[in-house]
Amino acid sequence: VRIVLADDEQKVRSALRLLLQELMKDPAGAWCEGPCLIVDAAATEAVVRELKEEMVDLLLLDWELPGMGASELIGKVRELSPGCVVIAMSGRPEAARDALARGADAFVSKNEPPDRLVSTLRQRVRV
Amino acid sequence: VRLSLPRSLTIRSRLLLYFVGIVALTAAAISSVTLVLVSHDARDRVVGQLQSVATLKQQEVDSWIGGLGLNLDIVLSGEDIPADLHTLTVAVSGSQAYDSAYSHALRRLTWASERMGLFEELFFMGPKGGVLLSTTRGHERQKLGMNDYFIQGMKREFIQEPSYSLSLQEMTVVASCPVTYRDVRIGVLAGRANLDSLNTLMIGRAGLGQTGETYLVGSNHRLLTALRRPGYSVPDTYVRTTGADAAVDDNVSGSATYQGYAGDIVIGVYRWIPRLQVALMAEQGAAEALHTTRLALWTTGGVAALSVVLAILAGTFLIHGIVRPLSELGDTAGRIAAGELDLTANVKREDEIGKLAQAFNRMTGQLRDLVRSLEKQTHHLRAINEAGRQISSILDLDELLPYVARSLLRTFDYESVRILLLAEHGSGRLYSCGRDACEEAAEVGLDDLDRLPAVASVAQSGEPLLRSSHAAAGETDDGRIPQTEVQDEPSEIAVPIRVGDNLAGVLDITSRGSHPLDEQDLFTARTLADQLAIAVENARLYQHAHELAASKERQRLARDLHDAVSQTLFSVSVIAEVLPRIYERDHEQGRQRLEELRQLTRGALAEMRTLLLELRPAALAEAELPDLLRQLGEAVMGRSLIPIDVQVDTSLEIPAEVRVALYRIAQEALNNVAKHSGADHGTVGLHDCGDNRRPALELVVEDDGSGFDPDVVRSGSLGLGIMTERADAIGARLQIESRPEEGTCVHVVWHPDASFITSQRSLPVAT
Repeated sequence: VRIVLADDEQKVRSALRLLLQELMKDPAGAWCEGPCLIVDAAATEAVVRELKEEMVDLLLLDWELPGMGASELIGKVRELSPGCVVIAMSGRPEAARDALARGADAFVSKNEPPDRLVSTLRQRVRV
Repeated sequence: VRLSLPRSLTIRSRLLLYFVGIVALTAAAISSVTLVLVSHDARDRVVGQLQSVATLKQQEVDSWIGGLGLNLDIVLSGEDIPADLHTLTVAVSGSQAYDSAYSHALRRLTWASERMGLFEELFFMGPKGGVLLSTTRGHERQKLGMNDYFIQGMKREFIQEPSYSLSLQEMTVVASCPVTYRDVRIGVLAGRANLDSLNTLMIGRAGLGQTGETYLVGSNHRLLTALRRPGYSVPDTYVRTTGADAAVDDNVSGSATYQGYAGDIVIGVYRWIPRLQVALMAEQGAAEALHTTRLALWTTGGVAALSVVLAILAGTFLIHGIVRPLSELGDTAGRIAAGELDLTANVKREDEIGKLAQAFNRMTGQLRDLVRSLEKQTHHLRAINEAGRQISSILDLDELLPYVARSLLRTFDYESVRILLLAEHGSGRLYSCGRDACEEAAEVGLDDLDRLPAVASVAQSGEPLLRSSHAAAGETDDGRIPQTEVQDEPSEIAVPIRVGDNLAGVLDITSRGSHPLDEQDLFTARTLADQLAIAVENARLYQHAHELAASKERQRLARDLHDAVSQTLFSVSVIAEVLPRIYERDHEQGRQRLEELRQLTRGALAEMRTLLLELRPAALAEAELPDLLRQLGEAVMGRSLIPIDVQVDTSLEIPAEVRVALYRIAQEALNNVAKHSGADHGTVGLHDCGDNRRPALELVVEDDGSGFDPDVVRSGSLGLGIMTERADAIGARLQIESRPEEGTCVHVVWHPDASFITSQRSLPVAT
């Protein structure tokens, strides 16, 4: 299972990695089955590189990620990893409508408590 | 020959010159013609008179000469005289016959000499020239056979020319005639006459004035008769004048004007009398002879000169009469040209000059009206311009509109100025100014404008309105502004303020009394209304721009908050979400995560403070640079998780603008460290450097990150341009050293004295 954390802030990627790792260890619900690989990407180019390398199952995408436009990136995701679940994240709640319209599977505001992200991950993704 | 006068000559001088020239020429011509005619005539007259006198005298001389011969004849005609004389020639001296004849003849001659008074001496010469008998005893026995009067006297009657007799010591004339006895020439009877009688004859007056005289000149130029002038005695005077020379030398008669014997100019007539071999001279001094003529000529000349003077005076007066009004007109024109438009030419005449002056005054009047009209227009345009300037500089309508109203009132002395600004929904804002003061702007409903019918009308129709108190009623042609005449009410202008096709308001002006509103005011009002429309539009746009700017500023702050704080807080909350479970499972890892959390929250706090500084720029200028740098370091550390070491060691007093500039440079450099360097570590240093003589402050921002190639990176990117500008503004030296994979070092050195100079020209505390 491959998960890509796409965010230009290293501290955000680091925090998200910690969260995902904890989710995997959660005995209550087996969120991720089998070996799980978490990859960082600081820019859209890095995301595309990972997509081309191997299929990606989950993409946590910062909506303001520097690089190419979001809709173009989602297009590439759909093309290279058709089964990939894309969860868009942004500090701007108004980006939700845009993100969903452009093909993201879910949207999580960074201004909300992490419960929302956790429930979204549990709900939408069963890797 | 072209006679041209200098251009600079005035008309007065020209006219005078021509006038005097003509008069003087005429006078001179008349005078000279008169002079020539009169003097010629006068001379002829004098010569004629002299000729008459000369003829008279000549006749007298001729008669005197004739008298000489006649007297000799008379002596001889006595009885027995030829016989007695014959006896003297033939008888022996001492004989009775001789003595008888001698005494008889002597008695006879003596008697004749005394009785006739003509001859001084009568004597008889024998056939051989010996004097046989003489009334002067001592002369007998003289031999005179060689004398002309004997030789000629033997042939016929002869008169010898006057000559000086040494024996008698006087001028004498000898007349002789042959004595015939019984048809035989027995001798010559001669008489010696002195010239006294001739002298008397010549001196006798003949009506020739004071200087006129007649005299005789002998063939050897000797003066024969006395002169009236003293100092010239006979026989010691010789006369050599042109007249005497002509008569004596050339034996001609005539007349001439020449230098007389005394040296003065005379008019003379000369006659040669061949019988006596003398010249008869009749002369008169030219001065006296022509005196009357001269007097007449002088009188003529004087009259001519007088008439010239009179003509000049009359001409001057006449020219003065023509030129003075002209030059006055010229002066007036000059003063009018200099700006005294109220002047009129004061010429009270009905002639051409009077008409010229009237035309001139009419022209000046027109000019005055034109200038006043222009002045009024200029006045209006200036007011419009002034209002336009204010309109472009004042953006607040509540400030601008009362100002424009006051300005109009002040400039044009209007009664009142009102500006109605239309708002939506049938309401408006009314700015109202009277002579004394301006009212506060008031919100009005369009239905409440009953007391301002003109404003209401224009607000309704959108058409301008001119209500003139003196305009003729009923003159409302198509397309013209409707005008209504209302007595005893102020004239009023109301014009719409239009923004595009929309009616934005109404400008209303009233005027009372001596300032009735006219088309010019209408023009001003319409122009101002157009400018006010611009002002209204400007104010609206400004408001819009202001709101837009505020919105943009809010967006920027929101973005900064998101970039700086939200991300950190998101990370913090995510870590905090899982931290309890991690800690439960693994204490050590939990403590690490806790430390991470601490750093992140400190960073977020520093970011918040940094953002607050951006919200209150004044706080930035007040804060100390070391505190600011530490705060920056923490913020960057919190944001990027790159440890930033901040080292501050300075005791220098740093001016506010330098603090701000160095802060901005450090902020920009640290942004680069956080965003682009990927460094493991960064440092910020602030140190004193230099020496006592030239203290300096050094700011160093350094990292061990990826670096860049200064030759490739554009100077404007990575905030390098901003950093350079900031450094230049305080006179600091900025140096950036970087190489790929070898980190970056931003190095700023500032000298207090340099900053002082350059800060003078920098903007006040740019933040």
